[in-house]
Amino acid sequence: MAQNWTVGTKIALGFGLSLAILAVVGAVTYRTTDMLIENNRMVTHTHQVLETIAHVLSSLKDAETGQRGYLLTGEEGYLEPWQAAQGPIRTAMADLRELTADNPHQQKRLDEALPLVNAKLAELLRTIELRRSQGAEAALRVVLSGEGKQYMDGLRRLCSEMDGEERELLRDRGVAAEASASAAKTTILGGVLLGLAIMVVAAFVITRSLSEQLTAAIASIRSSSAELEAAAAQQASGSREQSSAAAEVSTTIRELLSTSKQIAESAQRVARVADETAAGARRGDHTVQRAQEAIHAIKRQVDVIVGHMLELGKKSQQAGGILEIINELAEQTNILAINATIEAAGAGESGKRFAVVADEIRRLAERVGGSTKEIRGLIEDIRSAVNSTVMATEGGTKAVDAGTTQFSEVTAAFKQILERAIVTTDAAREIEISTKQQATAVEQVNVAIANVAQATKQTEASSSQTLQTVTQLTTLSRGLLQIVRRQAA
Amino acid sequence: MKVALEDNAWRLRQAFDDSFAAPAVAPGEELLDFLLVQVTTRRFAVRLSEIAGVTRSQAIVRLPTGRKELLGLSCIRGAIRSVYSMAAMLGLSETQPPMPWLALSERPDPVAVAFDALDGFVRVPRSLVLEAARSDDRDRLTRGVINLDTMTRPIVDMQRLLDTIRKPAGHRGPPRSDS
Repeated sequence: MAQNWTVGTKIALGFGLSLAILAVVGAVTYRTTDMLIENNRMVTHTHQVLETIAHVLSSLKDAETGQRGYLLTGEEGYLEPWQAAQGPIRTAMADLRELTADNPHQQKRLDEALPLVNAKLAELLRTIELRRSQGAEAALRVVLSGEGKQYMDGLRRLCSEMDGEERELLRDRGVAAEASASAAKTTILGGVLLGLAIMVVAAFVITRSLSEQLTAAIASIRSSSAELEAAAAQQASGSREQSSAAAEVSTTIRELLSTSKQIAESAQRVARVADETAAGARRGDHTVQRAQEAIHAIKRQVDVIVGHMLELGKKSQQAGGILEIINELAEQTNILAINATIEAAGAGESGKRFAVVADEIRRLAERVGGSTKEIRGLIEDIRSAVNSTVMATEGGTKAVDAGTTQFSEVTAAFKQILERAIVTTDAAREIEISTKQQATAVEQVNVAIANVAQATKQTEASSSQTLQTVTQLTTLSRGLLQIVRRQAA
Repeated sequence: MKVALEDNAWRLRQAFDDSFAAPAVAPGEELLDFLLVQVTTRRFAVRLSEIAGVTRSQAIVRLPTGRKELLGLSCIRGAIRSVYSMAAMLGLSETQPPMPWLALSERPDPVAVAFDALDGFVRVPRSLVLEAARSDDRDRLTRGVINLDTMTRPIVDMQRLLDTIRKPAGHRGPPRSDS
């Protein structure tokens, strides 16, 4: 798992461990120092108590010294020590009370000592008053009674006990202070040594790890630098190609701009042609409408012709019927003539003239029959011609109908042409407007392409700069590798 | 067309008038009259002198008879006549066509012979008629031919045909003709 730690982790761990040890050492040192300071304070306190005790005895001795000088001399000047000791004695007693508040033994001794002090001071004041009022002997009797000495002995004893106890405490606190100082020294020394050892190990491990990782990183940097160099070179080449392409695009866009202008002009021409086409379509529509009216008139005339032709066909048919009757009559006449000839032949000589008549009648009938055949042929020709005429007329009618339909289609086509021409005009104008907008856009694109070309040149310069920087980075990584290897070696 | 018809009528009228204005026929070569008839698909000629008349066929009442050539009876010119099929007599067909034309004979019995079509009447010189002697073969019903401009037609021997009709049934062999 330690192999996966980063350099920062390792450094943080090494420094963290050292800091922890330093913290422990500091805490122990602080604790020890605090105890030492406390011991010193208590020692000072004890010395203060001792001084106060000594000050109480000293002040009492000063007061007694002043009292005895005054008693011997009667001079008021000798009372100055007595007067000066009044306040300090009481202050020292109060200080002792306060300084030994945590010591019940000393408080008990103070409880015993305070009446003795008061009694001593009262005895001193009484003797001084007696010396003033009754003279030296009255005062001397009191002194000789030993009362004052008794008070002082008791006080000396109590002070001696208090002093002894304080000195005992002072000795104990001195031992404790030495023990604390010794422990602090041991802790500081051990902690420092342990911290140094851990820091040495951490430095070794971190240095080694950093060396390996830096070597790998430098190798990676070198590889990346090589790739970056190649990429920068390629980018520079690409930038040059892009610059060339931008120039070509700019040329093409200029051509496109020219073409757009030509398209706009063509669109204008198309719009004019479409207008002319629309006008022509309107004229054609009017012409076709007039032609359609004429065709309708022709159709009516053709219908009349067809009616006449059909009537003629009927008449021809009726004539054919009559001709059939004539033909039949001629045939009957012919038969009659033949039979008359037979009868005339049977009549002998007297029937010869009748035979001539019969023969002529027969010939006439034959000629009539021939004529009826001719007439039938003529009638058939007439009927055929009528039929052909009717058929042709019907064909003409159909053609007229078709023409009418086609004219309707032509009219619709003209209308459609007109609509398309209008649409074409609108479209051509839209094309013109769009082409102009396109030309404007193309000009903007041309400007943009020029900017791109400028940016490409800057990119090319930047690529060259990058290439130079990469070369420097490669050199730097090589130097860094040499430094790391030298350090590793 | 109107002019052509008027011309035709004028020519007809002129020809009719001229016929009366012309003199009688001068004696010369003998002229013979023939009926040009059509039997089934074949064309024949019939001497006008051998028949008593020609007419359109009337209603024919069929008879229950074993003679195939007898078509039935018909009333013509106020007389009941037996109607025979010329085609059957000439052995051309055994069918019963409409046969709208009848050639009439009065002697010795009123008989009618039906044929299919009447092509017309011709009067030709005797030189155009190739006569043949009447053979003893009673079944031969044609005799001679007539030469016309367009074709040659066998001449039906109406006398022998009428004799064949009068001959009792079963005494006659298969009919033959010169054609």
